[in-house]
Amino acid sequence: MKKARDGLRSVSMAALVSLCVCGVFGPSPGSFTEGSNTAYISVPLAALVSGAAGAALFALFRSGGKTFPELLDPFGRAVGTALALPLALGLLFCAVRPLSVFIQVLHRLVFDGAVFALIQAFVLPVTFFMAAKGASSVGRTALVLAGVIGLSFAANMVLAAPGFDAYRLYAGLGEGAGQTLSSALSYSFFFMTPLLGIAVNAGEGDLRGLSHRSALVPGVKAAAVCFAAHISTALSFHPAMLGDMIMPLCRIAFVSPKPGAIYRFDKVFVMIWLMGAMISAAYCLASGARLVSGVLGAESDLTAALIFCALAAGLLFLPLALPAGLNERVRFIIERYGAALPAVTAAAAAVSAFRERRRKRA
Amino acid sequence: MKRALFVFGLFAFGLLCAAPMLCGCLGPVSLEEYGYVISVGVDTMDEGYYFTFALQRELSEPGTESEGGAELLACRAASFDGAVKELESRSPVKLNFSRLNFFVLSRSAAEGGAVKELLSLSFDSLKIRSSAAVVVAECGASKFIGGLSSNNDPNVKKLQSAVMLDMERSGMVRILSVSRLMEAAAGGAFDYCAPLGEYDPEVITDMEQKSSESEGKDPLREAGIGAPVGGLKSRVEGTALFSGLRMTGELTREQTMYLNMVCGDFKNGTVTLPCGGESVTLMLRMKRVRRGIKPGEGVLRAYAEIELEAGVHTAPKGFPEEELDEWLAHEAPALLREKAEETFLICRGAGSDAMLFGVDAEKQMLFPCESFAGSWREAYRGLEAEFRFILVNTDKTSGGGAL
Repeated sequence: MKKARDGLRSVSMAALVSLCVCGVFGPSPGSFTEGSNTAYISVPLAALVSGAAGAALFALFRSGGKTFPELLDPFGRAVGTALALPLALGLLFCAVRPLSVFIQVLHRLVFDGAVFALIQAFVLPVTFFMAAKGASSVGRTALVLAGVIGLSFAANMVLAAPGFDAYRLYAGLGEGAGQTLSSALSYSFFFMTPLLGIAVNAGEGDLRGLSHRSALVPGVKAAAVCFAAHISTALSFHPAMLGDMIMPLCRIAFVSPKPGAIYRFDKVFVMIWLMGAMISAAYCLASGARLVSGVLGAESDLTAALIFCALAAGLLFLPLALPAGLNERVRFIIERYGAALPAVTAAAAAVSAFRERRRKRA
Repeated sequence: MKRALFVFGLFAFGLLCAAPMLCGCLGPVSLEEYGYVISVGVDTMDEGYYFTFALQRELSEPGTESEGGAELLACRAASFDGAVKELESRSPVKLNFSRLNFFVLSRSAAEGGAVKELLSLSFDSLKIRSSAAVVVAECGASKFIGGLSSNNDPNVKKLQSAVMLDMERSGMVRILSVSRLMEAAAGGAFDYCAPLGEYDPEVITDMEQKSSESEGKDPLREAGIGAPVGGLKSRVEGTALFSGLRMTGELTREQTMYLNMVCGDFKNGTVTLPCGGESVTLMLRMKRVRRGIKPGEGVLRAYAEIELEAGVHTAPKGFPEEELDEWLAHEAPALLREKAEETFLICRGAGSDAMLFGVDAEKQMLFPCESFAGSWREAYRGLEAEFRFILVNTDKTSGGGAL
């Protein structure tokens, strides 16, 4: 029982890191409406809503008495696999998106004259190695590094605080409540997907530990972290500046220049946050592998993990070959409508769990 | 078998951890191959610009002489990219802008289109942090940058940081980052302002001093009475006001202090005011600022209430304490108010909202978001402002001296 609890705790920590990384670096604030920025409302709202929805779903899954992949068995092998694929694709995108942001940042802001392929060679092998070891191993790594990552977030905001000004929030309110809520619904993709990874990785022995708190607590914590990150950005930059800016969070300390080397720690922070992005990507890839292996009835996740890693590498290299407009379009469509991906799989699992619970009571 | 697998797994793990670190060995660049540019100067020429790049010189080894803390590279070019290419072609180093502190523009460049061209640079691809600041040099950018060097202190970055420390100590310098300049250009709620630099050729520095007394000049010791000795030839003399992307006016150091007070960026400083035919020097420390816009019929009226802690630094001998307290409570705030109004009128006359009243208008949502910039610029021309100073006498409130 203790081993099962420890396993679930480490997976939950990896999920929390993934929620924070996807919530902070996944959405592009300027992608839906130009000249406005209410990400500090819509992103934390998405985290809270996802946490609440996840709490209801986890309680249902637990009462079903089966693991998440097993819940898709009643639909048959082919249909079950088809129902699992949307969540698997969502996990793949959640793995790739923050990594691609960081690789762009390393290429544009950090390394002088670097080549994309070399930067990816720097980042990907360790990520894939962690993914192949499984979500529990990723979680144990997250337990060690989460404190450092959180501290660097806080330090960055403290250094930038003298440059904050509330008038920049007023400029960004042009979206309107309707658009903000619509953005929140879209951003829930970045939270629902990693959250469901907790259920995916919960084995038979973990089911008793899988409760509504397993989703609600990470959701609330991620909402707090994402609010802090996005409000810092909104207080530092006018919305009109955010459209072309990559990773504004690492530049918030530049607004109010002061003498001292500590105000030039932006690249150090980027390297620390990169560790978080690698943990998040490894967790999402491992979860996707676990899901597909479970649905297909494979004994080991390794083969599926290697396939997911290869797909992730392909998705990272592919944009270099495609026109930039096409990349932007694909990213926009997934950010806008991607919330449907985990919703399909979660709905199927929920229906199956509900039926299973009724069958047991009968 | 299991042990062999474990050992192999450890070995593979170690290799995988080391591999990313070794990736840096692919195409390595030694530190000596980079020239770190800490200031860029832009002077206008008949055709194009004259660019001056100050490169941070590494500390020289013991026994060698140092001619200064920065190496200067300069050339004529039509654009910044052209200047970089030209200078890299005749310099053994690759220019690296990741430590850039200042963009120094000559007055004519600031009044012309140089700021617009500056903003068109790709800061990301040049690795320039937007915490760099713009300085306008009355004397010309090249001269101003040259005047920031010192022989005895080769750390030219430390010397440049002195400009920022001047801002914190005296409150008579106003430095805004390039990020604020970009915001002013993008949002339009306020206007940028930059330190206005000057070069004094009469200041005698240690630049010609040699390390050995027997070898050469020692200008510091040879300077006559009355000559300004020591320090740097370049200093900040005030503030350049911008309207949009062009320089349109200037303030003195004292007026800059009032600008900082109204903007809430003043920390400490001293001010000398007339008092009964003599003068009193006050030490001031900012407590709080309350400001906003009072919308009325026709004309907008901005207000700023500035509360300062004041201590008497020097006062006329024998001046009665009660009269001094009375002066501090009533006359001194009125004098400060006049100075602030004078500063505001200069800003408004230059069409520069350096006092950031547009920010207050945006907070109070006085104009629609989509047309804010244009509406505010129109309204600013007729804006009136009222200032109120409250001085808290720290000599009185501190409880007096020892028992």
